[in-house]
Amino acid sequence: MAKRKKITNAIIFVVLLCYACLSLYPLIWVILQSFKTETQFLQSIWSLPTSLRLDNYLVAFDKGNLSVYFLNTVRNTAATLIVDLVFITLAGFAFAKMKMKFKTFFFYFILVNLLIPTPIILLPMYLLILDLGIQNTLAAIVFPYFQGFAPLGLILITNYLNSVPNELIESARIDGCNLFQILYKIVVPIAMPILSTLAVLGGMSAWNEFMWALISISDISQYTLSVGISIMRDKTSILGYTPVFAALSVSAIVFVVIYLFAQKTFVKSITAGAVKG
Amino acid sequence: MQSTAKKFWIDIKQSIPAYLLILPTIAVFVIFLYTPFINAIRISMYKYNGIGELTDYVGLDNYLIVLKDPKFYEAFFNTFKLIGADAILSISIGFFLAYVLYRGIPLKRFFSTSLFIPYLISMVVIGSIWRIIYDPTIGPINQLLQLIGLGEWAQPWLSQYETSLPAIILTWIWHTIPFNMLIIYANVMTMPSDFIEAAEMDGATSWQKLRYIIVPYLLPTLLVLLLLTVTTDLRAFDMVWVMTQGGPGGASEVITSYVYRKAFSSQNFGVATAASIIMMLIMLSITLTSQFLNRKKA
Amino acid sequence: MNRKLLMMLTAVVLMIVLAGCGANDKNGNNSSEAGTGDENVTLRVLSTNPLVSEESMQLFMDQNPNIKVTYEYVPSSDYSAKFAALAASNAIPDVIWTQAGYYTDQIKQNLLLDLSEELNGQNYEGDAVWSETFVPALLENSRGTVKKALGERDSYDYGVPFTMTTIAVLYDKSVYEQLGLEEPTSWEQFMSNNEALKAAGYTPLSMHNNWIDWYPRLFWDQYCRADLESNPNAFDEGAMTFSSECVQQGLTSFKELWDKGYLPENGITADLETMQQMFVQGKLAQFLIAPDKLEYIMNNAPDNMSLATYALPGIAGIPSRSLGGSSNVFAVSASSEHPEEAVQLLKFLTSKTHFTGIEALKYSNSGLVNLEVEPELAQFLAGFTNAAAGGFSPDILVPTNITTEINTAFKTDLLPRYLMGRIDANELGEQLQAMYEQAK
Repeated sequence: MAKRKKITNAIIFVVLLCYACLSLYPLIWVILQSFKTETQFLQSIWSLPTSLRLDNYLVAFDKGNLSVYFLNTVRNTAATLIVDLVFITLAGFAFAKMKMKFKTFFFYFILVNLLIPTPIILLPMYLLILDLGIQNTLAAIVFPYFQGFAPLGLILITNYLNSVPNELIESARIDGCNLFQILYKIVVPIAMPILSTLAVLGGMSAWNEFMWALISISDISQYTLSVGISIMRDKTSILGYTPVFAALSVSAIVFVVIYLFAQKTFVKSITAGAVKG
Repeated sequence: MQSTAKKFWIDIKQSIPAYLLILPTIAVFVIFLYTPFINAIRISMYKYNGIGELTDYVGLDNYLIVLKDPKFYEAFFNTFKLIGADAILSISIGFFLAYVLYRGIPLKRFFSTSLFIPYLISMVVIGSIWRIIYDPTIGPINQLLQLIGLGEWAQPWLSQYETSLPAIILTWIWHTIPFNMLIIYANVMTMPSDFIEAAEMDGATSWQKLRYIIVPYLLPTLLVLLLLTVTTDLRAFDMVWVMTQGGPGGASEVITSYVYRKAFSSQNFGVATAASIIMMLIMLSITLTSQFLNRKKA
Repeated sequence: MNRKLLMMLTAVVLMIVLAGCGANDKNGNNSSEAGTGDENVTLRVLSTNPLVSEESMQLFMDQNPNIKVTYEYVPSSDYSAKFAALAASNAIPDVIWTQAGYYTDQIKQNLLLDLSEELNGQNYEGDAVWSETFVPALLENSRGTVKKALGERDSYDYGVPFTMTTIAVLYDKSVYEQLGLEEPTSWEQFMSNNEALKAAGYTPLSMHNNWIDWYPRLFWDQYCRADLESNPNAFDEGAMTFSSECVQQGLTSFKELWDKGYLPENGITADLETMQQMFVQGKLAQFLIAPDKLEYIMNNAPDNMSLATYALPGIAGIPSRSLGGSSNVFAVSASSEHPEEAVQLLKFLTSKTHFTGIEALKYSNSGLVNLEVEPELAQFLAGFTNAAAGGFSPDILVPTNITTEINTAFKTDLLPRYLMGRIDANELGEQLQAMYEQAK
């Protein structure tokens, strides 16, 4: 019995190890390509780079204008996150813990977004931001991104807050805390883990978004990383492919690093929140 | 009668603080989702190539064009294949991985980190990489098959009718498994330990524990994951577009790539919008029916 | 209650602050700045051609200090989405890149400025008539496209061709020598070369997703040329359809290449990048390619490759013509507030000054009569020169690219299905015909 269990465990371990390689390999592959020369890359995409060349990164940052795009993307993502987190916390608390007539209606009012295919909104939304006169501003990026992320964010935070005992909030209210204080002093600290989860998920979608950034931004100095990378891909006949890999590595590694740091709270948040229908 | 009206207003009044809290979100949704969406509905009733004003009113013709278009059905069924495969495979593999992590395994930290990586990489990057992996001449799959003497199994995976959709689905699942794994793992961790202990006292086997305790405990979570899977897959686009653009010849066309092609490649915004709205109505009715049935059961 | 109000205000303020910040960045989009005749003019440019880059704009601005250019670049695969957004909002940039299907659609919608007068004026350097600086066949090709798609009209000049695109076959001489092959001068020889290359384990010919229609279009130029030259309006009048013999012949010849395994098996979905890799890795023997993509391969091919080019022989035995020609067009928006300056930029783009001033333009064929290519380059480019010498197949011959809708359906749906054997040439013809008639 014990022996059989050992064998099963060993098999599971090996399977998991293979699967982990499969999970890691594509990212590692991209990073490896970014150190190669163009010729090495073209001759074999499976060979290893011969040295830790940084030329491709220099080309990407210099000729590919990556530094500008990078900063723009950092700014857009940060602003989106602020709106995501503030708005979703407020709304999530209201949905989870407050008396609200027509609660279901308003909840579905937001959730319906999950059913609307994005491409059809692109054109009308573009006309809208022109009417509002906010093209090339942060608002034209932030609110559409928030709109896209809000349903998932709201589902996660509402579930999380549902599992927070009502007594905690009641007792604060009895202590004379007003709504704002309750939110600030009780809800936010409790919700910290889920907020960090939302930050990673929402940040990722803002960081990687491509289509809206491409269509809506008309000022090349405001372009984002994803748009910049696709432009680099288009210009490979001049720049080559390996700088594109350098750009991709930069773009991808940021969230991997953030995840590594956030990982602990990440799991804890969902544990505590326990997503239950 | 009067008292119900009165109660209604009292309810509303008491809800004001909550309304204030959801106001920013609702405001953004009214401005940045519903306004464009209503315009989209308007566009769906015009023949519109994206240039200038809406002038050519055609009523419901665009909807008829979509409903008569065999390509729409192809895209529709492909989307359902994606959803079906994703729901079954991704959630069950995610479940298996989460369960293994929960039971404990050497190098647990390494695994829980590395297994999550596919979810952190953008669809565009994933698509570009996997396209090379599937490439029949320079990609590793066929090279590997040839190496181990299975050369006749080598295929142009993404470029032939039978294999392109399955290949994309596989990549898609590779991307979604980690999310399901993480959510299930987190939830299984919340399970009170006395549940399991009691079962162990009764001499339950691992299988019995899994079957009679863990799965029922996780059922609500699995249902949420199912909902998220359906709604995410419905909007699958980037990866498909990068890998095959819906090709070859529509073999891997999904609803969103169909809509995108109609709108931006064929510049037929009316038809594209009509297709999206039809799809949306179908999904809405499925959702509502399942809700209704659920409630009836309960 | 006060506090609640405060919260609401915070939310509103937050929205306003966010909406406000960044708004005072230079907004290149507001057309209300600087009325006409003013000293400083800002032009907006939309390019998808990597050869027209920021460097080009900088050179232009240096030479025209009163004009400021805000330059926007979109990847060519996303041009349609970007342009749709710009057109829907009446915010088309002053100078735009365009191409056959888009070009004629844009003219039809009156979005482009008629340039016929300017073309009869001075060129950028002021030493010749602008229209006379172009290789005549090139300008003819561009005008023919407009005529074909839109019929007789007063002017056919709504844009100017930028570079002369020709396509020829790039190959590795050493492979040919090894197998005892020679540059084919007839179609039979070309096919037997393919057979030999295939037998030796190579993928004989290139093909990739965006240019999947190149072969049928080349074949149609051979099979249908006589018919369409004697009656250019044959499709319009219904004298010819997509089921006509010559059209079908072009399709079956393409299918034959595919069925014989001469085309890469990933050709329907693979992109240019993949073809380049296959070529450099010595897996692809012959690469049907345009010259602006050459430099990259030249720079990265291994030393043991000895590259050469030849013009593809005609399948029906009549003199072969190249595809391409005026496939890159630059035009001025009809709603431009600074048409004069915009035309000035157009003149610059198609000038000797531009082609000699920018390093990246070295390999491209300017399509200008007053510009010579370096001799050693000329020899390598012989295939392209020969291909161009035969003249160009009109951009729209068999009208699969007369509108973007038909073009999209043909390239992404019908042709792939046909190659995979899911529809036959008859059905393909009928479906195209139905779409063609609907478009009219």
